[in-house]
Parts: sequence; structure tokens; C-alpha cells
Amino acid sequence: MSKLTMAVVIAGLVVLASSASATLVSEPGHASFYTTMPEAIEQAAAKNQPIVLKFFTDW
Amino acid sequence: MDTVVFVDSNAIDFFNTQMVLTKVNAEVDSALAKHYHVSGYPTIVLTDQTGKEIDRIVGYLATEPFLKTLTDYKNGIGTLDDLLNQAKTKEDRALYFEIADKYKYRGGSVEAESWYTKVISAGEPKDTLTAKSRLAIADMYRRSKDYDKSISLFSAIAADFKQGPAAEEADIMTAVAYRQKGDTTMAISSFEKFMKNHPNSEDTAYAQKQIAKLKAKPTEEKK
Repeated sequence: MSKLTMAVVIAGLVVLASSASATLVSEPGHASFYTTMPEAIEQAAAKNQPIVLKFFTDW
Repeated sequence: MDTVVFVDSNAIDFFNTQMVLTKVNAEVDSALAKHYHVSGYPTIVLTDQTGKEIDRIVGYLATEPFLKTLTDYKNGIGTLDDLLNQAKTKEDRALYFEIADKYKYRGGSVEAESWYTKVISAGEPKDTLTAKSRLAIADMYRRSKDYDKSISLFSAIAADFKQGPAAEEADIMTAVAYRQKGDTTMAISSFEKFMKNHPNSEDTAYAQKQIAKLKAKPTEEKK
């Protein structure tokens, strides 16, 4: 397997892993939320709703 | 915001039934933050189902106005497109200023400058909206790291508006721009000038701290 093919396979696995780990975060007494854009888009399409992206930092 | 808005029962109901809430740590997903030109926190971007921006809220809002603004945006009220449509038939400097701000926040600096310039041309040379527009243009150049242009614009504002609030902001921002440019000598002298010109400003403590930091810098570098 060439280095390029290997890099493509690894990149694909990383994308799959990150999309598989994206889940709805539900905490008691707090609005539930997603943490990745691909999942937000998927949910928005399924629910026919817009997306609210809240950008924050830990500073 | 997390401890006030997103724990409010109305907000919980709202996001459970009307919009897909997604929290993005801009340090972790910096590509997404860059894509949406996020430069301050918190920034809330409302998008359609494909991720295309409808509009945004920059800074904090209490729960009620926050949910109302999102609902209005969803219904096309108060969005950039809505304001641009209104501007077709209405000559209103406040409206032009709002449009300019919206472009500024979403990274459209060319369009923002053009709308701020409309505000300036349609008003008096020394009215509040003119001052705010000139300050906003100068600050966009600072944010884009064109420090010389920014300093020149801030200095002109300080000269034109003398001791008023616009001059106060222009003076401190001149010093900040010099500091960001890496010109320590001019940064110190500008912060000192700010303190002399605006001794009662809320920012004097900040300026004093900056001067101390900048003066300590060469000593630290020698170590």
C-alpha cells in the first residue's frame, strides 16, 4: 500500500470515528446539544429545523 | 450563558422542539470557527439545514430576547437580508449602521466599510453615528492587522472628536494597535497620552497595567 493510499485510509477512519462519536449531549436541567456540524446537519434535515451553533472557548 | 440561558426551562423546551442546538469549542474545531468568521465569544450562528448562515448574535442576551431574536431570524425578521431589503426603500442611517455591523461580524469587511461610509456621508461630521462608524472602520483595519492604517484612522478620530467618548476610544485603540504592531515605545507613549487625556476613564487601570507590562518586557527579554 502506497503512503498516499495509507494516508487516505487513515483520514477516512478518523472521519468515521469522529462522526460515530458525535452524539446528543443530554444533561439534566440543561438544553440538549450536539457537538459536531455533520451531526447537526443530519439532525436538522431529519427534524426540518434550523441549526443554532454556539461558539465558545475555555479561556 | 450556559449557566443562565441554556438552563432556563423555556430555552430547554425551545431547543428540544424548534432548533438543533450545537455547541462548538472554537479552539478544538478552529476550522468551523474560521469558516463562520467567529472572532468574539460567545457567538451564536443560526443556519439553515445545510449550514448556510441566516444571521448571528454576538455577545450575551438574556433568555427572553435571545429566544425572540432566534425566532425572528428564523422567520426572516431582522436578518441581514431583511435589512438590505428595507434599505432599498428607506433612507435611514441607523439601518445602514445595523447592516454594516452585521457584515462586520460575519467577516464581510469590504461590505461593512461601504455601509459605514454611507452612514458617514449621510450624516454630520461629528455626530454619534459618524463617530461610531469611523471607529468601526478603524477597528476592522486593526483586526485585519493593517496597524498603520488603523493607527492613522484612530488618530484622526481622536483629533476630530477632541475629549469626547469617541476620542477616548480612539486614543486607547491607537495604543492597542501600536502594542499589537510590536512598537513598544509608541505603545507606551500612547497609553500615557491616553491616561493624560482621559484621567477619569474606566480604562485607566487597563492602560496603567499595559504600560507596566510593556516597560517590563525588555528586562524579561534580557533574562
